[in-house]
Amino acid sequence: MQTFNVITRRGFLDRSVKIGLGVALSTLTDIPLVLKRALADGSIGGNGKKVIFLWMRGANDGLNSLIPVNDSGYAASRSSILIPTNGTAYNNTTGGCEFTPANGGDTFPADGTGKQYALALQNGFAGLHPSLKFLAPVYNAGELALIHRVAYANQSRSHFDSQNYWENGTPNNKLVTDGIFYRTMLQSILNGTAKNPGLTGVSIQSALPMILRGSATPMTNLTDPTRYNLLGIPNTTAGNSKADKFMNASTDYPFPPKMDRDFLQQQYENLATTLQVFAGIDFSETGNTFTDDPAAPIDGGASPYYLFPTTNAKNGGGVTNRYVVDTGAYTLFKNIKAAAMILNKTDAIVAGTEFSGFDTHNSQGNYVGSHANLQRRIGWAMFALKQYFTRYSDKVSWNDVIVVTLSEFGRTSKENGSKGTDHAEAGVMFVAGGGVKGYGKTPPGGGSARTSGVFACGPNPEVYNGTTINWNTGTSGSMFTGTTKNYLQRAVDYRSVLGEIIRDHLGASQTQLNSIIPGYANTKEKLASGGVSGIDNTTIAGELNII
Amino acid sequence: MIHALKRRVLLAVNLSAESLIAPMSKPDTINPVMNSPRAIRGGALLQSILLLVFLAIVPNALRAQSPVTIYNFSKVGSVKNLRFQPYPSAAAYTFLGSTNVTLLTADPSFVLSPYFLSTVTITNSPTNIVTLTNYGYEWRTTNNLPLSFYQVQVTPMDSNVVLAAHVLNRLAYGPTPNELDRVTAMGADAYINEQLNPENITETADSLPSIVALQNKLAGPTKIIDLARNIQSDTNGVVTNVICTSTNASMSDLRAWHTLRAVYAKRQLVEILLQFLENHFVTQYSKSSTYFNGKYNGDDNIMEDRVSTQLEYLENLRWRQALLDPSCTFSNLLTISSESLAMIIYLDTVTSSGNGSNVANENYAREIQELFTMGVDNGYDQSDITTMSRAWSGWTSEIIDPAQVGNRFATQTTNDYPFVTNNFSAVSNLAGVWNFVFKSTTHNTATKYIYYTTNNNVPISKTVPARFGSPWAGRSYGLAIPARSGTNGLQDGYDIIAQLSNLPFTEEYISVKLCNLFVHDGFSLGYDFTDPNLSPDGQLVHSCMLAWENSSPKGNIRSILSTIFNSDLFRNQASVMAKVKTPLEIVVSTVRAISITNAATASTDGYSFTLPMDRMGSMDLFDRNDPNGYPEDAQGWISGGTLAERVRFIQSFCIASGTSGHSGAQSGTGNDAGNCICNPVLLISSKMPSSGWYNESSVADYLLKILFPTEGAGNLTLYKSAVVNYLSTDDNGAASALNTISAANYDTRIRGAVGLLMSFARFQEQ
Repeated sequence: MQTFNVITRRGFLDRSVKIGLGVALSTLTDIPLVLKRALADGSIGGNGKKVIFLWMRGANDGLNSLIPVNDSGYAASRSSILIPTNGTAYNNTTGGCEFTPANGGDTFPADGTGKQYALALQNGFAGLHPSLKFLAPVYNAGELALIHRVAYANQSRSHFDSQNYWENGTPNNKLVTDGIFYRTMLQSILNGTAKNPGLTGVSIQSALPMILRGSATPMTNLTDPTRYNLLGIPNTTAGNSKADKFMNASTDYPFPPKMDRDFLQQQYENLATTLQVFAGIDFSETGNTFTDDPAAPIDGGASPYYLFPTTNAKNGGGVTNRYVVDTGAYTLFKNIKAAAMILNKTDAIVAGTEFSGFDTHNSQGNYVGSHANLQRRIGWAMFALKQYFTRYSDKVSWNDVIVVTLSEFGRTSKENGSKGTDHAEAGVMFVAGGGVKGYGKTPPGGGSARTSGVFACGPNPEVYNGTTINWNTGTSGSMFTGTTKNYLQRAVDYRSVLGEIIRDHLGASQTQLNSIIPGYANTKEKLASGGVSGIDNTTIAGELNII
Repeated sequence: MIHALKRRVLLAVNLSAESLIAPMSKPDTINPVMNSPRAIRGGALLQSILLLVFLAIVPNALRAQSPVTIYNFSKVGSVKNLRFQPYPSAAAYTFLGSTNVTLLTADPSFVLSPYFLSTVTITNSPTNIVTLTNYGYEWRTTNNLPLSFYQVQVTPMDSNVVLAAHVLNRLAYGPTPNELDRVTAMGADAYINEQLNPENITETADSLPSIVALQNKLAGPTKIIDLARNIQSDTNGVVTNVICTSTNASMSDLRAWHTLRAVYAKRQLVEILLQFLENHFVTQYSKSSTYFNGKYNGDDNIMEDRVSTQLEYLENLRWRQALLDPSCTFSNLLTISSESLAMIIYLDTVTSSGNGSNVANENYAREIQELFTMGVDNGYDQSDITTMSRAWSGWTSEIIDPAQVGNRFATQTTNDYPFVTNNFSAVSNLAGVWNFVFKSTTHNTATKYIYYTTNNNVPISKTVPARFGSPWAGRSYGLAIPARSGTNGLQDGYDIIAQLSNLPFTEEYISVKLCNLFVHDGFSLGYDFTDPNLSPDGQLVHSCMLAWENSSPKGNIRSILSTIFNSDLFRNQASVMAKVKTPLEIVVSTVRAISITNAATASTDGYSFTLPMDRMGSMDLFDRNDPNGYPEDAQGWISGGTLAERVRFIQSFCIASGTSGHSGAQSGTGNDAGNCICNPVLLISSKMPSSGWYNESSVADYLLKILFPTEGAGNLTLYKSAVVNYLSTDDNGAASALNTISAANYDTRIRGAVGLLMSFARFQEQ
């Protein structure tokens, strides 16, 4: 009878990443990650830079977020879910994103019949879903990168496998069971010190996502920060204190090894630690007083909107036709607020949350409907976070923060018989932050100011690192590749986007990045340099130089 | 009869005076791999360590995981420290020592003691500094004896006791004190046999008043025509609409019924399997509700909620009936799922159109293969999904005449609700029953080749890969569906069900899921079944597949389960307590753990589980958003945030109802457990001899026995000293013995002790 190969909790090597790395990194992977950090140095956690991730589970229909309106194949393949266009502003090549404050009317632009049009991004090609309206001020400040055609080689169209790969950072390798941001946190200077590395990565949602999971140290997940304390028996201060003391001491007690025991024990220790830390932050509803700038309210109203809509009264103008998000979004914004506050007030480096509903197989709607409501959440979240970190800067300011969205794949170009879309390949990533080099900004390394913050969705060939990316239009163009000729082909690898953020924003050295995202060390992948991927022979851009 | 065997593990340490300078505070180094004795790092300190293991004959009923691994011995001055990996279910450790290795004598002076590991400091803005200290534990003795040899003997628990508790953790929602006694007495094998034949068990839960009331509410109006309804009139008094009233069963009623059965059913395995099926063939109540919202407007969502609840209930009822049939197969269970209107709505077949130029909705075709039968990318590809999606088009819903139930081609009923005198054609005014029907108008009638490739336009069936070995490898498994028009198109779906039911991929994937449910979380797809070194996990999956293949008809559920329950792996220490409870399992097992049938020691109304389960990670029964169902593994559920919710529920449950922490609205912060209540003092007075009621040690022993029945006193030393300490001190930590306090304080103290033990990590396991 064989037995489990049980790894004990303390003082062990983090093995799981090693399984996935293969030969390329074999010399480094025999060294404990803590030691690797010391060898490679880097400044994660020491430069004050932070990341918020927003997981859009279910696969966002990127073609209706960042819309290739000047591709005739778009209108040809969609009917009931089509986002209509209006006028010729889409052909303009300067001017940024259209934005019209509502001035007391409906929050979203519409014609007299209520029909809403794609907002022209004025890059000569693309439009924005009208419900993403509040991205415009972020975009026009040059603080937003809209990246299309993001995927990976040999794209899985299973939600669960693909989410897995986005989080573990090793496409088509399920053996790696720890996450990109987990590995990033292990490389932080806060790890291996007396600081608790478990507090460097925090999620606020129902479960700790794989992107923060790993075996060496427990990252933190809060389900409801406002309920994060225990009761005690009796439920008095003394009774609670007595119970907490006994329970916390028990987390060190030795027991025979079992399959899930180390993990459980780590999370108990995490609970014991974080209970005391998060008690010091006011996550309550009454503490939700953060608003837009009273001197210049974004929507043209008399009073500024609350940044985190958690009740009807705090949703936009507080009346139905001036809500900035749907009423189902309040828990999400409660969680986004908690993530922002944790980054702003603690040593945490990465925080994030998730929202679902993107699996729009049927009746996804167009400028209104379920998909439109989700777009509103994205748009308002980005704007609200910009204003929060600008106006309520404590440990960090907006220049120190990057907000990045994740979504497992894009959806079919052609509408299905249920007025929805099915699983496909490339989708859209949104990257916002004071340090992002978007519209009007000079790219890192110099050159002329960017005329657009749209990447991989333009009328002309785009050149990155010497590699040319084309969007071929028409019903046999870029939107119609794959086995059923119904998929948008990838031009950007999600790891190139995350890699740039982890290295150029958070401060990882290239050596650290090579172990955080092992694909970087594989010359066939072309994650940094771009070119023809040796994995699937698709031409990809490599890094986009957005930070 | 299996006897507890004394296991002897000898640590012989040949020490010289120069070698005894092991620093006390140095963090330990632990051998990460079991079963391989190795020299301690910094081995210069100790000249040599020799680990000798005298293996006893392994009891067949419950195989031990591995012998004890001793990994460190140190001596500082007169203090000697011994560290070894605790042995599973150890009833006791005995230390023997002597300067002469042949004359070892018992040394009772070793005490489990803490040593410093590390501190953690967190600086929280602006000035909040939190410092925590981590400790390790070692066995320590202080004497001035010369250098010695030491031997550790382990006395394991009676493996029958461990196995009895283990089967109650797996085949049931955890032990109850009485079930623990009963199963220990009858033996685990008898219990397994009992639970595998549930039709022979008298289900006393069927006569519990709370369950009977819910049963009647759920079973009553399963047809919309029978639903109690109110009438809406226009301003002239003309009846325009009829609306549902709230007297019918709602989702909260269904959840209460389902979870009450989990607590009280005698047919525990049936309840475990029902939850598994409900979660495996996942459907979402609120998706149905949204769908029916398009049919019923203006009635406060009552009609759509009640109809959607019924769909979940009917599905559950059909599986329940199927499981009571000894010949039940996986195919039967899959068919129930496919025919369920809840599923047809959930994965969008209901709106799919595959006729003409319409692109059929891929959702169900993808997930039935990826999640319900074959497993992801296991024998199918995108072209199979696309082709199969066309076959499902036409499977949709309709409100039909009750007399037509079962007729898959029934058309919309023309019966109006009797009082309606206006707006006759509105669906909301039709009296009938929502049912799965086939509509050929949206069906794709073309020939369909599934699991085929083409060579020069000639379809060639795919074959089962070599890794499956005999008898599967090389089998052709292509499914050719001929062009079918009209009502014949319905058969496309049934052809698929028949094909998927017994594919080797399905046998593998479902076996893996069942093994993950009943054994441990580590099974996965993709074993090479031809590998002579196939892992024990792979071997068990293979055995399940053979049981599936060789039963007649194929896929007999009880044959597969019996294979698991009788496997070495299931009966191995490696699977005992190897799983972490899901939110459903933690709330149900919490009530069961101190519930006895002859006294009101713990109870629930069922309804009060819903909110805590939502808080523990959004486990909303019958309402999962994602088609992969709720996770079965620990990682899917456990985090600081969810552990806080689990502990809060347990503490609230243990607090006397009506007092602070267990009063007010459950939706607030002061009544997490709602109507889940307990009276542990009554349990103690019912089950313990009166001589022990005020003895801290006796009370602790009893609570440890019922709450941690798979673990022995040898490993519960620190839990016991914690609870004894807790019982013998007041809230401020001052000494205060049980026999000196008031009855009210005694009650609170006992409640606190139960809550404390249940909030420990081991209670999260099963």
